Amino acid sequence: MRIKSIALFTLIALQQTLLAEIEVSARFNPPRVAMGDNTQYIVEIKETSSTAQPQIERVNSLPIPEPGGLELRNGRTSSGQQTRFINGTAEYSVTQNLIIDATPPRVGRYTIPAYAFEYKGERYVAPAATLEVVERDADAGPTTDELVFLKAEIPESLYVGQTSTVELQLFIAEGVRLSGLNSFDRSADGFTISELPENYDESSGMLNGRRYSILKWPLTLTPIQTGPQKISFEFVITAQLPGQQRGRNSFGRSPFGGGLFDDLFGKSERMNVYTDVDAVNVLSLPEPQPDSFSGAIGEFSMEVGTDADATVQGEPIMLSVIIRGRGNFPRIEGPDFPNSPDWRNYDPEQQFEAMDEQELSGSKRFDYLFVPQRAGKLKLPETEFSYFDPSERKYIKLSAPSIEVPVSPAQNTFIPSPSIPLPESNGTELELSRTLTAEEALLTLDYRPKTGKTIGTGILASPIFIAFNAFSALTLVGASLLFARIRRNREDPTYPIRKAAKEFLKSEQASCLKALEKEEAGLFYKAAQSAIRHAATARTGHSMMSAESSEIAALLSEKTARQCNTLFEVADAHRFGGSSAKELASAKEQLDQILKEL
Amino acid sequence: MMIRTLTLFVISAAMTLADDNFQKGVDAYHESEYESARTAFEEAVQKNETGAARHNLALAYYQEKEIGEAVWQLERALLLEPTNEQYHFKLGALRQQLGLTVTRPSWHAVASQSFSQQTWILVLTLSFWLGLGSYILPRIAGKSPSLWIKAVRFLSITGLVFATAALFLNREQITRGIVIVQTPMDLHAAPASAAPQSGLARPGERAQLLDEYKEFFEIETEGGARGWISSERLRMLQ
Repeated sequence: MRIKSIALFTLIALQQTLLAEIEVSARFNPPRVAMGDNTQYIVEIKETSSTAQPQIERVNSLPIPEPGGLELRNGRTSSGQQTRFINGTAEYSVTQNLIIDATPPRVGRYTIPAYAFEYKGERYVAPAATLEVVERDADAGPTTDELVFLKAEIPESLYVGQTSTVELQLFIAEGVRLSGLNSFDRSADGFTISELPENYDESSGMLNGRRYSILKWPLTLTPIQTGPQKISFEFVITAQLPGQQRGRNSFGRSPFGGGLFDDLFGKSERMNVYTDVDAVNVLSLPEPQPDSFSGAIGEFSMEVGTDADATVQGEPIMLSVIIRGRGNFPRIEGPDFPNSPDWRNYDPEQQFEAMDEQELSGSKRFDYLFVPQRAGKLKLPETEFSYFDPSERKYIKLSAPSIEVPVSPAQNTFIPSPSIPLPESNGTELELSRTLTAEEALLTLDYRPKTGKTIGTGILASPIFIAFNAFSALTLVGASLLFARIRRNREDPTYPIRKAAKEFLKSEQASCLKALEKEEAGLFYKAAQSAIRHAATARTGHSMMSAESSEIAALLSEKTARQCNTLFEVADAHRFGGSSAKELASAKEQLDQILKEL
Repeated sequence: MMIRTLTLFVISAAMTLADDNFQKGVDAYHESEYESARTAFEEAVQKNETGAARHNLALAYYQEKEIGEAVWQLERALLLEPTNEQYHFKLGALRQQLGLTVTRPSWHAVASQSFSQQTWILVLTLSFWLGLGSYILPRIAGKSPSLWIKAVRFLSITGLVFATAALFLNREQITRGIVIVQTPMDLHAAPASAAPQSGLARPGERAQLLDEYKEFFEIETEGGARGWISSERLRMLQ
């Protein structure tokens, strides 16, 4: 299925190619001009197809013979496409025009013979075209070249690398309306040329009895190759010429002159204006060149200074070289300063301040950093700068003397660690170590890894740290309790008795409860008596275990004292007799009352 | 016993490996193979972070023109060995090359860094408990403090004062970082790269972290510029 589709597509494409028809024609437009007027040589390639719009392909080469000195230049292309429907059938056509400006040198007939060229892989023949140039009538109006033209005053000779100014002048005759400057181009392979400024100066002047507006652009020109170098400039402009009508007069301006109607209905025309092709003789710079010459051509002066009168070892000092004057500043390099044992220097920082728009006049500053390598009275090196003066045709050498700079010893220097001591010798001691500069120190490794500190506050979250603090807090609390107890024991001798009595009291109370449950009156009263005695001991601080009941009763209220005496009496009585559970319950209540009061 | 032996063996092996990497780094540096040197020192640092390894790593970065990284490594080396004069000098030289202010640290700053923050925290904690115990326990016991107790009190107060002062002086270290960029970078008025410029952070400049939001840090540089920067451009020292 896929192969079928591809085959079908290929067949359709082949059919389109076969059906497409290509016609080539060539002509001059206009074919007859008066001497001084320009014309255009046009090769038209028209491609027609009834199935689809043909595609335009670029023509890479058009081998046009130039007959009899006819000057052809400024080739360009234009194209258009058209679709027509005739009796329901579509016809697609594409036209490509190759347009070349032609300037005849003299009166006569000029025929460009038929020639072959390649288009879309096929060979086609451009037919012959003939141009007829006739004498200009004495009363004919001015030619287009006389109304609008471009001039540039280009120097006859320059030195390679020399920067020169060129003023580009566009002359526009009175009556010509300039609608726009479309593009600017230059043909100058052997030069570097500055960009066209956006703004221009405008003035007016008379030339050959005609008044012109003159638009001026300053440019700079620097030759980069020696020998004769061609140069020309070109503008594409849109202008309305006076008396120009919709139907162009092949013989230039109408002999009847331009009228109001002509101006009103005249149309703007796009045209190319050129300077003549000039050749500049580019000379090479004379030999031998001074060592300090780095390509500066012009007229310059030099100023040298430092930013400080003194410095400290290792602290940089800045040496500034300022070149002032007029010349090729972009090509000027700062003087070279070799490193010395006293100084280490670095590539300079450059700064250019222009005095004019072309940047031909101004000052260029080079700031060098010099780092003193030792203390003492050191001298910054001499400064030399050479340039070539094209007016004098010789090299000029500028020089500034060395500058003395006192350098004091550094306060912050890195001294390498002492090496392994060498065995003593009788010879003269040789100093092997010296103070390193900051730059040198930055390249020296540390060969002795030592275990460093632990960085951070991670210990706060460490379980060991938390456990340590918890242990410390518990220890402190425990020690506090222990010391408090020791102190109490020390300060209150009855405290142990009281404490022991309380413990016994609890024990006896428990015994009472057990006896109550088992309804053993003897045991109950025995434990009750003991509990009351321990309670009395805990209250008084001295033993009441062998005290009379009256002594204990004295500690109680009257009512409770009676109960206590009764309990003691009943206890004594029950030592040898039984008792009911009901009596025991009553006795338990009495005991609780006594113990509560005690 | 066996576990202890095994642990010692593992630690010893790790130290040996770190030493090997350190020596490899030194050898590569001498051969001017700075990238290999950097890799070796980085591995040495992973195994055993020492001031020398960090310092040498800084020099390898310096040779590779990664100045911001070099400054960070030297600052870190100084945290590990705060009293090392060479490191101070080299950091000063590097900062001078970057156009940053070069000042010698004050004596109290150096003193506060003579021990690690962890050590100071331990000293503070120990002094606290000793001081508390030496004051409370004699009072509870009702005894006048002996000469030993007084000595402990003095030591604990001294420890408390020094540790508190050191931790106070080092408090900014926790939020301090280094701007790791090759060229000065814009600080923004808000945590967005399209926000207007509020300042400029220079390569290797110290900066305090003030706030963070998503992938942005709000910082104040040592030059006084304040604004938001991508979190990738600020590396904390701790």
